[in-house]
Amino acid sequence: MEIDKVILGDNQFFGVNHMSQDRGHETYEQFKDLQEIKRILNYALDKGVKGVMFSTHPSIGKICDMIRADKRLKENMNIYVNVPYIIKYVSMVTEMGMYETIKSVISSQQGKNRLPFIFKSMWNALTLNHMGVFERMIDVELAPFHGLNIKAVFLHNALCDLILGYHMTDILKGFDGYIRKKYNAIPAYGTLNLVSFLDLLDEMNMPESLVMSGFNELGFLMNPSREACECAIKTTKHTVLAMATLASGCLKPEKAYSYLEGVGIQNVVVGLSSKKHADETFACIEKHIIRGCKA
Amino acid sequence: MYRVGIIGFGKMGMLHGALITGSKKAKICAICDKSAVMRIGFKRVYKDVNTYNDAEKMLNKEQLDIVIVTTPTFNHMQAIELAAQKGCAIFVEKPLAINTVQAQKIVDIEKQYNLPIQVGFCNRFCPSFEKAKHILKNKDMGEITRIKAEMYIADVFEEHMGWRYKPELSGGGALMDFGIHMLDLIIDFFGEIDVINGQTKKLYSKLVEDEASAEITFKSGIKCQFETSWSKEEFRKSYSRIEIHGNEKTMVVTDQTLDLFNMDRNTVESYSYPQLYSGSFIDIGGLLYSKQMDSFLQRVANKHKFENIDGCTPKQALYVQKIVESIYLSARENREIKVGK
Repeated sequence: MEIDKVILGDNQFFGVNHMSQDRGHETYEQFKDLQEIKRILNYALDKGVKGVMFSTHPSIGKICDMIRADKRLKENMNIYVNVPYIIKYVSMVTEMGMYETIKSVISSQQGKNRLPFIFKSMWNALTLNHMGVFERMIDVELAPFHGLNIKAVFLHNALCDLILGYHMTDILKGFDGYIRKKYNAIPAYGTLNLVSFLDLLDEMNMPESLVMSGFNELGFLMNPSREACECAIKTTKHTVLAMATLASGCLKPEKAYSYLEGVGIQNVVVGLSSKKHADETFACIEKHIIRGCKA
Repeated sequence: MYRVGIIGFGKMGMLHGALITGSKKAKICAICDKSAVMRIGFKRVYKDVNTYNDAEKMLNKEQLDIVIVTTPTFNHMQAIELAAQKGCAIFVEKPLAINTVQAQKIVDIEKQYNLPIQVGFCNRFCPSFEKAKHILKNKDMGEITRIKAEMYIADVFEEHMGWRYKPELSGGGALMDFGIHMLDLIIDFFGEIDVINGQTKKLYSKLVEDEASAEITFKSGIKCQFETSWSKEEFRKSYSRIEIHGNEKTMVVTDQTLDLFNMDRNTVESYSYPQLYSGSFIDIGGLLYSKQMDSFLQRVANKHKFENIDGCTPKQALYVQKIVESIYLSARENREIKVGK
């Protein structure tokens, strides 16, 4: 599977930090300025990192506009989108219930095809075509990225793990087909339950898929255990993209990436909170993941 | 394999359902929800389930071992009574009921039918709070003198219309719906309460409070400053923090971190969520939910011998509810309340 070996994550842009909400808040303040995000993206390109992951945070529209307006970023960045922006939906479902949430999201779609889109969505809802409704919601989430190079579309781990819990294989099959056909992109999945999720994909005879999951020496976000995850990646046909590689800053880059090289991880998503940390992190990734894999 | 029914298939019903099926010890046989969209939609993607819009019908038709009650709070009591009559083990979301009268009725039901009932105060299972409880149990902080407990989220910034904002259906606002988690934690840590001086504030909602605070004195003499709000812009996600001052050590514990300061030696012992994380049978939306479900399943497996299993009992949830009502009463009458009197 042709994907970037190193993908820049977006948690720092939106203030997500598993270690501390205060630290998350600090980085959010730092990246409130679009120019700061632009600087980090250019810095990543300078380092040869072309992949960037974005969730569909409410401010994603402005970030996409900024990338579209910048020739270098637009032409060189491979975008990996993580849908949906789960916190927004959790709040909406709590507030309005499932039906009103779907209605509200679908009617938020803008642009010249707004009316046919809403009509199609309402038809899907009336005929209880759940996959149709699901596809319309994906369209709404991906709309801000128009004109950009969408390399892969990830289904958020909260949703994938819910699907895993209920064993809802039809939704995964539908997502796989829709992303390949409509967006010509790689369908991808986030999970905190790597071993069970890989088993589910194999049980469904899914083609080679991209799976993003926690992978680090601490065992953070690795279920059912670090050892079971290490075993699973040795035999799987799917591509595993490691996230939480530094365990939210608990691990030093050299130790973290040396461990990942040792267990055979070849693709990582990495967050950068400052230039100083970025230099050190990229140097270790270069040594252990990029050159390590070539060797 | 336990046969499970879910009454109220919203966000939390869906989550607990996925966790319990993910345990491979149970399967969802039936759901009950007022929304036809939910019933039909779920049946489309989870074909082996029977769907109902009436809990009594579901319980009469299905042979269930476990019932998960995740309806709006005003329906808890009736749903629990119906499920108990059928001999089902019950998991019910917090708060237990809309008031102490109904909560007491649920405690009586538990006693009458002698069934495992657990209440969803999930923060007890958050790894950092589990660690804090362990440290407190070992008594290595010296004598605890005072604490500060707070819980915030950015959720309500305009007037809303749902059941949550109608006190006759929810029992209250930010304190009852959200801050109650923090009350449960500090009561679990420090025991029963003696005196309360509470205040509530409406910022956006007309009928329920958006913020609440209280000066609390525990029976042990420990003083506590408590504050909660669902209208704090800076907290995108739920944030809980307890500052515990002992005469030898001070502990600051949040849902993500724990710092233990040793004043004599001028050192700090720190733990973060990644360090405290341990693998689980499944993690959906946070380890605390998986651990909570695991403890409930242990409770079910042990049927009548579950005193030592973690997790909130109806009796404990009733006490928390009593404290909530005392804060409301104190705020309303602008006076100190002696709990239990």
